[in-house]
Amino acid sequence: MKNRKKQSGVNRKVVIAGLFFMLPAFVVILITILIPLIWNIYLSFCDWKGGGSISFVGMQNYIQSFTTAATRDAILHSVFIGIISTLVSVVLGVLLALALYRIQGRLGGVARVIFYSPSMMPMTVLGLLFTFIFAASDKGLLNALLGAMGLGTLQHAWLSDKGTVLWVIAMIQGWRASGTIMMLSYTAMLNIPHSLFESAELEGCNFRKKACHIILPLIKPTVRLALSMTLVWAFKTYDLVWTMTKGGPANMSMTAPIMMIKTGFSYNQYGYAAAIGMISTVLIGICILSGRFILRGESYEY
Amino acid sequence: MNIKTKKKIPAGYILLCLAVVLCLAVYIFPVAFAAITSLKSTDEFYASIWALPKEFLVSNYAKAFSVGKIGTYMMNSVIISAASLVSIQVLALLAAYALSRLKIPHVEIFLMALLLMQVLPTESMIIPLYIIVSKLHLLNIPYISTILGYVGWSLPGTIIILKNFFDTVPSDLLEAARIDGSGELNTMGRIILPLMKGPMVTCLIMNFTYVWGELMWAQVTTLLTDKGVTITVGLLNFQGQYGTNWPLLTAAIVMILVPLIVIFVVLQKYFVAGLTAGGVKG
Repeated sequence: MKNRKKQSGVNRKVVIAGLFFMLPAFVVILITILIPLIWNIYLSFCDWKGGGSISFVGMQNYIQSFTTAATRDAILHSVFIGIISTLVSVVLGVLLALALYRIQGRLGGVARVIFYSPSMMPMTVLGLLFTFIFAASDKGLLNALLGAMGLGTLQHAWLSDKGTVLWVIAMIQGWRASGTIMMLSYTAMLNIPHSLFESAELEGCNFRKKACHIILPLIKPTVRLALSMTLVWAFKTYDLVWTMTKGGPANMSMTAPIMMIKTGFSYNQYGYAAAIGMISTVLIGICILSGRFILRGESYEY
Repeated sequence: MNIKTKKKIPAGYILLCLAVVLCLAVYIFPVAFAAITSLKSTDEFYASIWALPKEFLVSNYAKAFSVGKIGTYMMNSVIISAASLVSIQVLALLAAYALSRLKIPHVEIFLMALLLMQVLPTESMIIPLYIIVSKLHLLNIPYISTILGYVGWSLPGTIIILKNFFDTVPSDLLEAARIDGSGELNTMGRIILPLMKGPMVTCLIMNFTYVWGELMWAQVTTLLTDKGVTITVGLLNFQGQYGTNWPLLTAAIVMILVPLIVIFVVLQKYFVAGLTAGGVKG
């Protein structure tokens, strides 16, 4: 506070330098995020075929999205995949992190890399790999495995059955995201000071008790943060679904992003496509807020 | 499952180790199986999918690489990734440094906006951005529009992470440099960046996995051209062309995975360190 006056000249220079530093990033964000977002909101209330005139149609695109069975189903599929896969990834991710935290050492190090690996594989590669596993005939790895174990009755056309295809996709999506959740929770666990465990150890608590009463409450803020991330990914089920089923057979696994791209780029109904995009965005927002609400509660300083 | 934390190794611990090893086997199996299948001939594969290859057949790799154009696609992806990652890193470092250390007024507002943008799905921007790049005639120039989208969409998240790390650098260090008359760019490059290896690698890996694996935008920007097709779009073309020729397809899969695995194993030490030091507390 004492040197305030002397420094004010320096400060102004620093602020100007700062604005210059931010400028390039701001311009790129303006072009790629802000302008497109506003344009998309506007477009979703319009009818536009890609060329020619744009006519304002009010809520019609939104009404059409909810009254057309195919679009409504696609949106519902996305919500289903989003919720199931997020649950899978959070539960699996935190369990794996706890196991790694307990084990440590060499095995823990190797396991950490391998458990994280699905999160860095491209979705298209995972999709192809799992098409190989879930293929319908007994050339599919899973069906061949079931056959070899004498469980032929469990063989299934996994990717063309209405009862299984969405579950399979949601599980793969959740499994992939579990790597990230694991990594984030594990690093959060490493940040817990050892002193917090001392009294628990004196009392002779086992690891399960320590996990439930010390570790899990302390890493809750991290999980809450990771939850929003995974939800956004989980709704973006474009790549995985496109690789495995292209939304078929007969729209059985159609999701909102695929519907949107098709509506826009194949049928040239850009306004309608923009509305589908906006509906997904709002739904993701609702899911993130309710996820944070479920995991609400105080965060502990340590 | 009663785990007793005494001096002797508890039974629960051993059980847990066994469970983890079992899980590891389940994780590795599909990739290992794909690697084995990629070395078989098609006849061998259809005779028995379980049998090991009689001789290691590398011709699948050669065929996928040249005839299937996996080589070309991979080159495109390398170019796009490199250009995107460098741009993201430079722009985000500058902006994060400014937000953290250059006394920008109302930093909270900027941060709030970045957080909101980070959770926005690409679905809400992709169609207008496509219209923008096509109006600007950028679609005819390979790579540019693909890179533009990746850079823009990765910036908010990267800026937030890097800003949090810059906050941990003691400001006395900067004041000292400023009083010595060191320019801001110089201070950042010479004094701060060497302290930021971990977080920078963390961002690099996160953005690399995104850019290398992205499909929707890559597909949209190459709708009208066959130049600059990335590995993800290419892999699907390849699948369309060769259907269920699994030995060939698995060869392509293995070729895409190897660079990823190598990069990750080499950098994972910094990656974990970066995540840990960042204190990713909500």
